Amino acid sequence: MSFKPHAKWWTPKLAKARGGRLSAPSRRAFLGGAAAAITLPFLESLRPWGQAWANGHPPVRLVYYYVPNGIVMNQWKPTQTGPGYDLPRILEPLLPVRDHVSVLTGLANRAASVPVAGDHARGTGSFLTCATVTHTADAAQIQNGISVDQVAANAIGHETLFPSLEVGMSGGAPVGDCDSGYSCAYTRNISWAGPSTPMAKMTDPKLVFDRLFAGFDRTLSEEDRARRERWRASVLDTVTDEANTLHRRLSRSDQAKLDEYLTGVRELEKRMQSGFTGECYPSDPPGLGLPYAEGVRAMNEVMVKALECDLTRVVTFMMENAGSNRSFDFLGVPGAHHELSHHQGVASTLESLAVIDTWEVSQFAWLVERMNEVVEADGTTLLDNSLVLFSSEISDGDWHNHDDLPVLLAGSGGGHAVPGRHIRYSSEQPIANLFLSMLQAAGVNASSFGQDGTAPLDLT
Amino acid sequence: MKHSWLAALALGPLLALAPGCSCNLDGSDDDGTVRPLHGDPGRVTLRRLNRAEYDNTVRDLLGTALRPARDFPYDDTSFGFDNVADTLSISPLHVEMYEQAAVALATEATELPLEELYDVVVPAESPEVTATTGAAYGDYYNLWSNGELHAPIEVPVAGLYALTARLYADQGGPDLALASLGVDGQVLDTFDVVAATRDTAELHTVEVQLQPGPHTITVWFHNDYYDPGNGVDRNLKVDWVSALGPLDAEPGPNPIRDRLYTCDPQSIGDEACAQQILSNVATRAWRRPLAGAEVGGLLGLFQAVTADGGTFDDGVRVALSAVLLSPHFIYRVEVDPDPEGPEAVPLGDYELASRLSYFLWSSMPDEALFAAAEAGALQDDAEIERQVRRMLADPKAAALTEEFAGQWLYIRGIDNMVPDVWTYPDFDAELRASMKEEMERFFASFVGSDRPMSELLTATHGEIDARLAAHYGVTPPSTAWGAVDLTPAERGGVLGQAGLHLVTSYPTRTSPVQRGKWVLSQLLCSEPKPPPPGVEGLIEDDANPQTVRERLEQHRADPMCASCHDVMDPLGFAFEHFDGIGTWREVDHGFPVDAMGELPDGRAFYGTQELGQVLAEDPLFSQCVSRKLFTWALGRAPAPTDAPYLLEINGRFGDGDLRFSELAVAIATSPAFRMRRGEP
Repeated sequence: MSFKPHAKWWTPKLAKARGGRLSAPSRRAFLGGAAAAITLPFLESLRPWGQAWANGHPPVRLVYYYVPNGIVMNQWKPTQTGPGYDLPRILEPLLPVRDHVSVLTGLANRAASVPVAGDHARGTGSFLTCATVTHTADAAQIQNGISVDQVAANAIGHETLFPSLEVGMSGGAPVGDCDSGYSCAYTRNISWAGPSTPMAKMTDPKLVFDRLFAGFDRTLSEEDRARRERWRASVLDTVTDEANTLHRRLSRSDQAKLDEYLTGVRELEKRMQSGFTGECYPSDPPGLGLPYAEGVRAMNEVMVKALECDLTRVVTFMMENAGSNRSFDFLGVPGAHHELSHHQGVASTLESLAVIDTWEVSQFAWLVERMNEVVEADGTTLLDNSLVLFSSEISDGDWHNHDDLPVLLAGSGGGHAVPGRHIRYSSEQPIANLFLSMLQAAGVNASSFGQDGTAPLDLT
Repeated sequence: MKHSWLAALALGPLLALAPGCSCNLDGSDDDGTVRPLHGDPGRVTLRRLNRAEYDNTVRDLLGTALRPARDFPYDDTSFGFDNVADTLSISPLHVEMYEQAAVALATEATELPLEELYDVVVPAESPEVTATTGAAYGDYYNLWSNGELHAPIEVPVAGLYALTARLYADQGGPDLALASLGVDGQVLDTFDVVAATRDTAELHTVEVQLQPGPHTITVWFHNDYYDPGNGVDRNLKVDWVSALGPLDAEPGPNPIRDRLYTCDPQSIGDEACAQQILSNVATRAWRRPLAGAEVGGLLGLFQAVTADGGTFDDGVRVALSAVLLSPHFIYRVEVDPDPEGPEAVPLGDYELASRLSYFLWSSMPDEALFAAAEAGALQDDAEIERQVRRMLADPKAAALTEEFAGQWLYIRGIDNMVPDVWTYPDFDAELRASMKEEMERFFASFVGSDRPMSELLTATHGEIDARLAAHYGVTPPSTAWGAVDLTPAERGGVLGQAGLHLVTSYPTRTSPVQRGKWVLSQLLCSEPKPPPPGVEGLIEDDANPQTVRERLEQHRADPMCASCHDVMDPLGFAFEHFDGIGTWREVDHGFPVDAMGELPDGRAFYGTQELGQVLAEDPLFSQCVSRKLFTWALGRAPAPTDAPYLLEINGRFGDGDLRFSELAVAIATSPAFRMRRGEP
């Protein structure tokens, strides 16, 4: 345990010398990164609200892990069901965590099955909403449903500093439309706060880390910090007044735009008033501009820390955007991902795809292992109290089908799931029903979800 | 009107405005009703700054080198551009980042920076720490008898340093643990250590002048006590030691602050000076004069901060951060006199100044534009024209290349392409950069030297560097970048540029379909419909190799595909001599390349040179350029009611010599640009 509570040791002179620097100094960072894996006990003092857990139990966390372009399903599906299932080639990286991960086969997202091109965009837009998106490249015409993570955030998000966290590895294509007349908003976002409101995601692990952890200037004394918070509150009051005055002079659609701003300012005020002081401050911020594979690892580590410190309980992660054409030459694979995914049954192409798919599963397995290392106050692990979903916007890259999806579910969800099994569902079982189960495990009072989620799956 | 071969396929781009649009060239509806020209200038929704606009604006406002918007979420695009008002939304994450940026910018603008501080923390258990007694444990060092602990540091410059130790003790016996802290063997402070647990450990700091070079921080333990009979043991425990400094560094210069602080509070008084500074900076940041109450609000913030123990700089910093977080900064506000009125009214002088500056510079107005707005001169066509020509000659007009052409011609896409390393071993970062620069220089030449835009398609010479010369197989220029005759390499105009070939290819092969689609959508504004399901991808048959062309021709045997691909593919075939990174090739998969294309009206062309000639002569091209720049200038899609304006604009541009400046002037003086209406 390498946490050093910071005492009040900054003399005024020191504070002045520190010159209002924004980022907090990290003790370990100066040492060149002694990467001690931190296992942070679930201290009450880490909680933003200073409240005790209900029943003294850690809360349930939900994580959604998206990979693009489908999976080579015949190298994915175990032949045996139940516990101790076999691990086909692509699932081999799950070996050390097999008891914590279930393979769910036979799930479908029917909302995405529409007979026009653009399955990557549509499947990704619908990935967590289970709603059919409108076919438009014009961002003003976008229509989708609310995504499962945002349903959870609306219900339990007020208990943490960040209602939800949206992260990924790519911002987006800078030119052209994104997929057969579908807006880039569908290809870049799996988290949707409302029908036309994608939740923008952050794509640099260092920036996510800073957002989560570096907002608290430890170089200031308690008194200085309190004063700065008062000043900050005055600024927010001032700009809110300005916006309200402006609001009265605008037309309807201009007001709707300005409302987005006002909502954002209110979120900031709420967070400031939460009284969170940032005691949960991990060491080792990630580096800037990491190569892709290291970036994925760093982003997943930041996700673990956000959950560990209970800064949020709902996380979505996009390994890449829909239909990504990323090159995986660092795996020795020629070509680009989306191009390869149209494999046409060619053996060499399928082999390349399987290498990429296996690597994706290995990243997921690493996240699961990390979550299993984090011990909470009651002796359970973070993984015990989480449900972590892995899937893709389509099943097979050639067929672009939205049934028979590749789905992994890790964690016990605080006792709401028994992991470590292969469960085969009858054809066309809505994945929305799985989302419904995940919501209920997190204590969200929901009886239906998306277009076809009406009967939660029994995961125990 | 000149002949347009696409006329039979689609409405011309000026008029292909919206589904169901039935407006005619003379501005009449199908029922013959002629719309009054300048009847409806449309309206642009309240528009936030996009990422480029934000960064350019703070650059021009403060002179900062910070580019905060690089960390903002990506802007969504509509109609090909990322400055479309309806599409630019604000999420809570945006506001959070706006606040961070405002604080960072305001801090930078008001601080007196010190030298970079030396700032090191050494955990006592780390291997570089030595001691005369005791032992390192998991995360502390236990001095279990009288002795010394030494931690090495190396300070970069001479000055006053703070040395700190974090200490606690196993207490026992009659006294508290007695310790000293010092440097290079010299004790600087001696004290009791009261804390008994690590969680409550105490910090002891000494300040000392140090010369540059290595030093040793030392902690002494003086009064060990051990009574095994009673199980009493006094030990000193060291968590870590640290060094920070120099604390007495002189502040460095801050030119941003020097520009911002236009008065001296010592001479005219704190509040008068603060008011002057804030009023000046907010007028520029909000791009209009402030109302008295608005200045009062900012001054009120300054007063609240100074009344709460803040310094003058604190007050200015906090108020400046409010200026930068304000909706008047984040949005480009245009207020309708009657928000529900249908009547078209001219934009205010300052609103017009901002429309001009964000159109041509993607940034705020400069002093000359503000002055013209203040004088009320911008309501005059001749003055607008004068300003536009002045602004196009300004280096800030490079934004038209980076932002407008970057998206129109797909230049921005070059950075994101991932050509397959096995297929194209010649491709590297240097070639990528050269490709991008060639396209940017080429477009900039139309803004700067005002050559006819038909040469975008027919130019004989192009500016290239040695790397591209080798790539193209032509004689390199005598300077780093220089004009070279490219006709021997059959590469005249944008259609022959490798960057374009790259962004319209797949990682392992060319895509005549994407290239044809690029010509249709970007040069002719005649975007084909998206494909029906199940047609993505071409069959790679390793046993029976074919050219891409042959595979596509098979695919077009399907009548469902043919309806669109009969138009798209022949345009794309003209590019077939250029592979996925724009290298000239005579063979594809072992077969000779056939770059013959044919238009639906039967006219044939071979290669991009001939295609360029055909396109340059087609009136659709100039109409499409008008339409693209109109969309960019206004930040909204053209509406059916814009038809008369577009006709007027293209009259000046397309029927003339196709000069970019004429087009920019025509748009900037159009009522669609200068007027707006409410929302009935």
